[in-house]
Amino acid sequence: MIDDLKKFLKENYNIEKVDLSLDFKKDLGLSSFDFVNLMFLLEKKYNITIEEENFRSIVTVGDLITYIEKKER
Amino acid sequence: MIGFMRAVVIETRKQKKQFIKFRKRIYRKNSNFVDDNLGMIKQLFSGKTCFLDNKKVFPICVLDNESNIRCQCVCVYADGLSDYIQVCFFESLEDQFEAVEVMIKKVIEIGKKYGANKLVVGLNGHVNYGLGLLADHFDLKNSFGVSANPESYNDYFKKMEFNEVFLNTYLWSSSRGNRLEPFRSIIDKIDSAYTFKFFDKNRFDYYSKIYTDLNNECFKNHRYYYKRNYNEDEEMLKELFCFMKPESLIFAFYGEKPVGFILWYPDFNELVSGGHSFGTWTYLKNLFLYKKIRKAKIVEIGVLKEYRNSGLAIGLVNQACLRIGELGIDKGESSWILDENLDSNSICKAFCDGLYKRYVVYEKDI
Repeated sequence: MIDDLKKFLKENYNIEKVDLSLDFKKDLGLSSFDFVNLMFLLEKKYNITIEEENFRSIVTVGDLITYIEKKER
Repeated sequence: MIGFMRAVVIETRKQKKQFIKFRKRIYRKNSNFVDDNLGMIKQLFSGKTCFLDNKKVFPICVLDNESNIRCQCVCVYADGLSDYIQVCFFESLEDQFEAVEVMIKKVIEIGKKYGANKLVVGLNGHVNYGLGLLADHFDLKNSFGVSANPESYNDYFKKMEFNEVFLNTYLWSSSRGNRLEPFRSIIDKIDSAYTFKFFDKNRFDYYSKIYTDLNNECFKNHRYYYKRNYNEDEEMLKELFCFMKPESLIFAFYGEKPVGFILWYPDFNELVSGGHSFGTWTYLKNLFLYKKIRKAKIVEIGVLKEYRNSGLAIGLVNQACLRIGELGIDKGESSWILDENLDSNSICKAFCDGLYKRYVVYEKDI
């Protein structure tokens, strides 16, 4: 999953270095809009629905992967 | 040459009249520009405005040896922004570098008296009253609520080696298609999770206080922002609601909790000819011509920090665009956004056609 996400972030946001502890805003420099757009693109990519309150609770790459993995199960 | 100039802190009724007259003269000369601040300055001089709350205000004119005004400003020291002494509502004749230098020396003298260690040019007392000098597009009319000035004003402060803090605005036109549509699934989520309410004039105090509290919380770490009091915003909103409809100020509630807002309005300056000031006549015109205005302005979007990753800002923009569309308005402009404000610039880049006018604030250590 992390490799898949790494590739996705590189392609869509030109982010090179990704690890689980990185904060989307503080470490990866995403604006709030970039972040919402990322959620939106991931919904399409993985054919999942991310609820609004989860948009707010996902802070790090690790949070996101855990969330998507749960959804995919 | 400099020996002939003197800076005077004006006090008498006659001096105040001259200050106003000078300002009107400058605007008449720059016939593209509408003076949206004349009313505010008159209120300042009358002493009947909350603008004066927790501030020390010194209107300054620089006079030549024949007592003609060469340049002027209102110097403001705000208790809430105690590091700064402010040069507000600056106006000048052309080629007045020496006069502006004399004015700045006077402002620094006042600032030091109050313990300020920085000087800022272009902040009008508080960001809610205006920020920035126009930095480009000098040939275009200003939209309601933003400053307008000839290019030469910038030269004075550049020459004095002030630091520059840039602000951006953006322009959009619905003829380029509905840019919100690709985000329909996010907007639907936001619409079902939040309730949107217009400002209710029958509950003026209640909504005005929500506006103040949200402003103070959403913008608390933004450059130049300092805490507003309820009276200041109540006064400002009462004036704005002489022109605005309730749907111009939309609040987002999460359950019972107010968590965000958007402020927009039609560009009322379309009702005023360049060279004139915004006043009673504009108000009367507005009653008849509101629906003829072709451009809207999104002035403020505020979302509490913990709700920023939700897409609520997009939901608020959608709410405003729906209301703007109902008026038949098909183009718009954002208000100024600090260049360093990643979130707001990012949303504007996504939904607007491109960068429009830029503004600049000048500051230096004193």
